[in-house]
Amino acid sequence: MTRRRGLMWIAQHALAIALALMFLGPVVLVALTALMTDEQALTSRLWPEQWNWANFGDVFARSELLTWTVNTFVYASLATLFMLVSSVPAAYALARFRFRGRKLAFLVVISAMMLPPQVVAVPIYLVWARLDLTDSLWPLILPMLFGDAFSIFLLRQFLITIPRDYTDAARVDGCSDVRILFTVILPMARPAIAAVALFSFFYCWNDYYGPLLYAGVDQEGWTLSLGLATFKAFHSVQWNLTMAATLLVTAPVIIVFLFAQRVFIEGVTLTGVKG
Amino acid sequence: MTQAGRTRTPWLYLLPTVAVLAPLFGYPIYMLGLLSVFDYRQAQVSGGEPTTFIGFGNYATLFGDPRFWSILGQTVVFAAVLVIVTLAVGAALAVVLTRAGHWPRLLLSLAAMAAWAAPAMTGSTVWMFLFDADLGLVNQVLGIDGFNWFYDRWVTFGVVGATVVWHSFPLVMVMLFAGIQAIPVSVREAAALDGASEWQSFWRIIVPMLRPLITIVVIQSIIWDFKIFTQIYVMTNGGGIAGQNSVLNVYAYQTAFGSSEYGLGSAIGVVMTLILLVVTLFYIRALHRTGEKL
Repeated sequence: MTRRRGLMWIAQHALAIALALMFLGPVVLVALTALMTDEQALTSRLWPEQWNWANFGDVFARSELLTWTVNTFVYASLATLFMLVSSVPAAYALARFRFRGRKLAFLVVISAMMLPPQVVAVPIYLVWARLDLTDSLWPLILPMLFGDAFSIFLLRQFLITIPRDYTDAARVDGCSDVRILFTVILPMARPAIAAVALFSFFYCWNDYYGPLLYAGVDQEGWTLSLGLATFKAFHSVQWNLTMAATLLVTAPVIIVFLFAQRVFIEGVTLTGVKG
Repeated sequence: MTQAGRTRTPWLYLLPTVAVLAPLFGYPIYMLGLLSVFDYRQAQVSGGEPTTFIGFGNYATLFGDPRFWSILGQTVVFAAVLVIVTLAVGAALAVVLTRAGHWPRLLLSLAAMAAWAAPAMTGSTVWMFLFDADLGLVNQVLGIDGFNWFYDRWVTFGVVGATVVWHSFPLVMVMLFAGIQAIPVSVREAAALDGASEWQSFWRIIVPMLRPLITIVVIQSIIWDFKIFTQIYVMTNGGGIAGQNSVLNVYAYQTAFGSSEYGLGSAIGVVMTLILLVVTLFYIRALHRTGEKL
């Protein structure tokens, strides 16, 4: 029995390790390719004969990578900030108050969450065009001031798990609803707020459709996703440069993610597993 | 606080959201429907031409176009296959995770979640590199130098689909893993004592106990895979050879913004909305079943 257990243990670990390698393999390959010279990148040899660190500098020199990074950062941060300002109170209202129309409001939130923005892209685009705000990232940032359905849903799922006793006690002590939100609910909801903030930031950082539609033709206004797509098209045979750019674009996300993964996993489970 | 004051407060908090979900959700859908029954192109946008009501003209054009039907068909098939594969891979790995030791588990979940966190754009780029005809690692390993993975329609769908699954299964895996962890250990131990195999205990214990969660995961996956855009648009260069790999989302984008056929693009949007609405109804029903109070 013990021996069989031992073998099983090894087998299962081997599987997990093999799977992990399957994921890490491409990352290693990307890193190796990113360090090859132009000549070697055209061959099938995998190990760089010369470590060409200059590729990373080249990427910055040959593209607007720096501008794109700044744009992406501004887009993601502002959108996330605006989302929090609007969605937290909305989720609070949906989770805590009983009022007429609450069910309807929640159903609208769910429906809005289910409908991808792409589906209604045409009318929304035409509105922004009339406001003369296309060719910028504002059409992607400003709507966040008015709540994001997915974030509201996720926050509400968390807020309903906070026992009413806490808020009731505060109310007995004479707290107003606003003070309850700030002094009781917000500190308790910190993990959920961190999760939606990260989700939102990552969504914006990775967004391709939005910038493709709104950012316009001027490279100065592009985000990383958009820029990388063009970079790849311009340097189609220079896989070493494309991979260096890919690495530069992806690395920050992965690094942030590794630090915040606990927050993420909590958030992910919130969306489906109700406490 | 007065009774009237108490019932007004929640609306104050909801105000920005209601103020927007109405214009940003209700209004676009209304406009989408409206645009879809007009002849609306670039000329009308710039204001040079009057907009003409053409009733179901756009729908007639759309439904009379065999290309629309083939794209609708392949969108549905593609999404269905992706949902099934994502769930199968996600569920299998969730079970592997529960059986793995601390370090392999950590390594695997970190690697998978990193794949999930990576931008769809960079994921697509890396997969295109792996499957490159001349220099790709896949062709070298298989010894089929020069084979073009982006030529045949279904082979292309296969590669793009694999990329999508690679991005989306970690979410399913983590959700199901959390669900399995929530099942009391005693239940699974009892099954194991009674001689149930891993396969049996998965289908007889985990699946029935996690049914509400699985339903939600399935529906979220359907919505996720139905609106796939980036991978198709990037990897097949906007829909593949003669648009053979197009899906509804890409098709709508190209019709509306590529050809400036805003009316026709809106009609495609309406079709997508209706399909997703049906899925949403199932989602709300599933939420209800989990004991969710609206």
